[in-house]
Amino acid sequence: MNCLICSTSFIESASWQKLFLIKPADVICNQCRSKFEKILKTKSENEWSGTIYEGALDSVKSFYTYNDWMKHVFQQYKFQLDVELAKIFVEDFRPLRQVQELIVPIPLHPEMLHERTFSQVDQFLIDANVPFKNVLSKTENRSQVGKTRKDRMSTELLFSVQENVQEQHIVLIDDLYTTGTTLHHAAFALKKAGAQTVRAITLIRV
Amino acid sequence: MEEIQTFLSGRIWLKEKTPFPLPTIEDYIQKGFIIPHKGIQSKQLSRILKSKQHHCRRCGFEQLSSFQCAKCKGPCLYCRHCIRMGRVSSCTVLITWSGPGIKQVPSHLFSWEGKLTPKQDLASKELLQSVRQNQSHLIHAVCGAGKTELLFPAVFDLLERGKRVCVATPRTDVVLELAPRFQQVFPQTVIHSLYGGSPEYTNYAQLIIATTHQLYRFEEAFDVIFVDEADAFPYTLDVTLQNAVNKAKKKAAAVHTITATPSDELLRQTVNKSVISGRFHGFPLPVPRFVGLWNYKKHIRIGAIPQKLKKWTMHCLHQNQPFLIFFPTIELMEQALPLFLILHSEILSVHAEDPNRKEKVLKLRERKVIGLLTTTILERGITIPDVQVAVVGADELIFTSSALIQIGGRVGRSIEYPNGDLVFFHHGISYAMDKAKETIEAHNKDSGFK
Repeated sequence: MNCLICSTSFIESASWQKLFLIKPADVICNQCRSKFEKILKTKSENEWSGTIYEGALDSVKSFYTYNDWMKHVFQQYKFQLDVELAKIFVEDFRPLRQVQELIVPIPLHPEMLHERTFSQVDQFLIDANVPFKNVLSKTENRSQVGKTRKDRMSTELLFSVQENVQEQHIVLIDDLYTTGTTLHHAAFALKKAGAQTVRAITLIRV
Repeated sequence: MEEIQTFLSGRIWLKEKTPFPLPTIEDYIQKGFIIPHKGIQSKQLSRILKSKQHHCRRCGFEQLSSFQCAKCKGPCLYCRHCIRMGRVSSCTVLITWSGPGIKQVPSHLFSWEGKLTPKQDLASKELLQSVRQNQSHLIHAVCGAGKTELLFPAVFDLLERGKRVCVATPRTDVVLELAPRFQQVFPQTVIHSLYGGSPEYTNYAQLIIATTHQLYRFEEAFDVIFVDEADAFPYTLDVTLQNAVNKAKKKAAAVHTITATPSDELLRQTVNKSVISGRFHGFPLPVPRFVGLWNYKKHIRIGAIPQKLKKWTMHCLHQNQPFLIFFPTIELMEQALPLFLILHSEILSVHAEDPNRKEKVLKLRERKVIGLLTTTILERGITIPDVQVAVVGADELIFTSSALIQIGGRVGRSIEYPNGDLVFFHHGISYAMDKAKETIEAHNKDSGFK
């Protein structure tokens, strides 16, 4: 097996789980794996209290920090369009197969999707075999990059809800959590459309 | 018109990634000046089984990845091998120039004050003759023989005759070392130096100094290619790089090879060759000393530099001589660095992915740091006056005989300091170590030393 990141060949440690195909073989070597930094404790959010978005998002959990290594890998994935790298995070998203809630990825604007050729959020779920539903749609094709925190927090609603989510329990999925604008807007729209609970999971917490 | 022509002549480029507006490119395609190619090409392997073999049109890589593409609305293949140059996939288009060729009046100045030694001069003339006859030539010259200088007359001859020339090498470090030297010798010539992360040029260069990787982006461009350090990693292992050289040259063009450590295969293949077994300054090649360093890995792991290695390093520090210590793995090197920092605070480590690699080597050359710990990445292409060299774990597989010869070639290159210490610290003598020592001694014998 050649590592997806450093392309050196590596031998994986044996385990019963892998032998019985319960756990898939890793796609990157131990050294590359060890450079990712997991987040163990989740910070609680209070920057949104006092705004109309307060209480829209019930909780947020992120898997990794945005360290230099993650920046490097993520850049290759999202901007050099190396779709295959989504496989690195299969183990993180796999437990979502068990949840009863409706899994909703944050969408790209259709124009952006056409340009990027794949959705970097959906791809995590596709590779981890997690069923999901695209109930949100992005209303404008504007990037959050380059905006200040205040700008981001005060923009108009970024999403519209395309399907009936009355009484539903929802898990939002996104790649990066920076200021939380995207997720708060999405959660706000979902709650307004009748969703009962909305929590979120992101790969990276900046 | 002229701009697109000079940019695209001899190149193969992603249609969406040129510096020109897309409608203009489309217009040229309509007029037949630009030819579009599918990014991923397929060939039928068997009619009966309907199996197909796919490959990347740019780099030729065959193990492609597939995904559901939102642009072409279906399964799409893409190439990971050359992805850093912009992704090539089933639904991307590559373009080449098919309009009129570049017409230019060659105007070059050959400004070189140096003098070739009789051996260099002979090899240089032999090379020039092969170049004129358009036959492949091998220059087999030891490290420090002065290989670059002897290319100058042949390159000048080609430039004068309006030929497009490429000097390619597997190593970025070598490109960085060669480019300024060529620019100095040919001050009026437009020279592009291309490597991962180099500036993007839009003008036309008759002489290109490039890593072999960059040749993925050329097609039938060159009348002559010189491959310098042809045996360096990863060129010998990566077939796509060898194909890249073949693809980048015009069909009838000859490929010339320059190396200190040719493979047996290369020696067999080439008919025309010149051998230089002595250094330009006339001193013998440094012969390695073998010193046993038992259980060095364990010592370093538990936090101690093995005594003999420590003594060697202290000696260099004491004499104020710059040194390079080669390690078989990044891991071992990183374990060792803090231990060396206890001996002296101005020691750095460097490896392939190090973003500051260029600066660190420069610091050693300018004597701003006293020593560097390195992986095989610095085995060739660098010249540091008075450098002393040690290899830790010279018996490890990564240190092939040619790697060891190249590493040894760092020592005693300058005429001011023609000698220096070369130590192979080992945990048992390998065949490669023996072969390296024998080859070095044979070269010395051939140049009249005992």
